[in-house]
Amino acid sequence: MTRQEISEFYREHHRRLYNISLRILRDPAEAEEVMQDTLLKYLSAPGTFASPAQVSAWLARTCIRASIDRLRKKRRHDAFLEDYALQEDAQGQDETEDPGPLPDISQVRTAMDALPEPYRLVLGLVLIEGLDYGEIAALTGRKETTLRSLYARGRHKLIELLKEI
Amino acid sequence: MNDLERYIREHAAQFDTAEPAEGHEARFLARADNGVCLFPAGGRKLFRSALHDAPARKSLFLRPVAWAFALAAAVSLLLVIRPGASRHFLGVPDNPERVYRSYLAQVERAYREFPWEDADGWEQTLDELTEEPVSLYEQLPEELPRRQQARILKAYYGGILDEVNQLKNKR
Repeated sequence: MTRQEISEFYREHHRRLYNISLRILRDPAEAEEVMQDTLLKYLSAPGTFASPAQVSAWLARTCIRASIDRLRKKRRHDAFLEDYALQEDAQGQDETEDPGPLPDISQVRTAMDALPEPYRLVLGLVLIEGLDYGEIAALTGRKETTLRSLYARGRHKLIELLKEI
Repeated sequence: MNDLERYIREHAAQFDTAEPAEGHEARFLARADNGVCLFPAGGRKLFRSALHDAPARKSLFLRPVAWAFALAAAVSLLLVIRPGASRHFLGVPDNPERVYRSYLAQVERAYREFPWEDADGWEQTLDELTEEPVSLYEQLPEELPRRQQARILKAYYGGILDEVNQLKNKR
């Protein structure tokens, strides 16, 4: 791959990966480093992919994993998950809860940014990155029941925040 | 799923609005120029080659046979340079599947031997050493004799296991 091709590859993928990592780490410098590590890892990997969609999916998963690893290393992640009522039953939340009229997407962004870390992380991975609970459990090493509980409680908090905006 | 969840999913791309600090692309290209990569040595070599031998990547992927022979030549060279690497597979017959299974078992054992007081750092380093987006085992060209495939795998995975051992010895 020429320098020009590497540059084009970077421009195609950097923003998405940076935002994925930023949503998890909330640190611009660290998010840039993880984003670049992910792209360099792809460029150094001997693997081949059948389609651009597969490349994009691999990059996203690798970036999420690296971001979560880094978060875990800083011990913020474990503390967070353990602090938030892990034994609570996800079924206790009403899945048909009415969010009211749909807000502007920028309002949703603001509300999600305001969520406490565990809820923001799980909601982001499910709703924005499109991961299922099994994938998130594999990435974080946490039980699916824990993740479902966090998701249900996070959704409830998000709706409450949106009502205040 | 309620309307709000569906709405967020449908507009997921609109959450990617942040940009890295100014100069990010130049910083990336500087890292690329230096071949800075946090992953296994074999990967670094391939990356440097990909960077400087334009237009190697695209043309090689378009010609699988050329890729197969280049791979075989590269790993044969590895066998010469690192003849000890295959000691991890003593007693394992020259059967690609058996070699790969043996490698996976050795990696699994390395994970089990975590020093738990520093599990995160150890696990992450081990991930970086052993992770393959697509395993070499799956990429081996069918044109090669199975014996040669097995020897390639022994050399390649033996090199990774050498690095895993070095990591363990640093504990």
